[in-house]
Amino acid sequence: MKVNVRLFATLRERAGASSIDIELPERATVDDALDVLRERAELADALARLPVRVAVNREYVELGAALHADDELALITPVSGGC
Amino acid sequence: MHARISAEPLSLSDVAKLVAHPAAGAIVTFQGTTREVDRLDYEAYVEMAEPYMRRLLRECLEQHGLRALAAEHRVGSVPLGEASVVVAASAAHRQEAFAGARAAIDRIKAEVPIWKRELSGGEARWVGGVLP
Repeated sequence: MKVNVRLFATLRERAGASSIDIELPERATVDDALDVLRERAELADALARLPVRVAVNREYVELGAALHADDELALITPVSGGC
Repeated sequence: MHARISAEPLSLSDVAKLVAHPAAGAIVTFQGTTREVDRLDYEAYVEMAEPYMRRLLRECLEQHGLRALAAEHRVGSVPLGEASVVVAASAAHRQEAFAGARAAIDRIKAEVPIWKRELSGGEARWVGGVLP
């Protein structure tokens, strides 16, 4: 199944794209998606260095959460809004 | 409950007007301002940040017994001296208004998917933050 991954800030710059599609087996979890993303050359270094929280369909979720086809998964590195 | 992500300059007096109410004896406002660098560039996951901020404000309003609460965060380039975030809280009395405004800005900084990059002396770097 296909899942859309949104990237921001450092990760967006590393990937050279604000969103990428990845292919996952049926019944994959957020953790499975992270494993796939860590294997991508352009993201590997940054994902080894930065902690990430994941949002699915615009809600923060835990690593064990199930994914479904066409979900929007966002990689949220440490946030720094405000001043 | 007013929450907005905006690429335009923010106005403290505009958000203060949004929370004014005949039963509110106190309005506390907060403005976060770019300091010490040439400019800050903010990037947001807007589709999530706006509804998340609205829900966060609703929780602060209930926890602190506020009459109303409003916040706006800017995205894009924010030059030295301009506001990147504004918050206004109204309540019957000042204690609740101060506590509610404080809780709102603290949670916005720690939880809403927004990132900033500092530009200073020709160098740019993403600012380390808090994992939500």
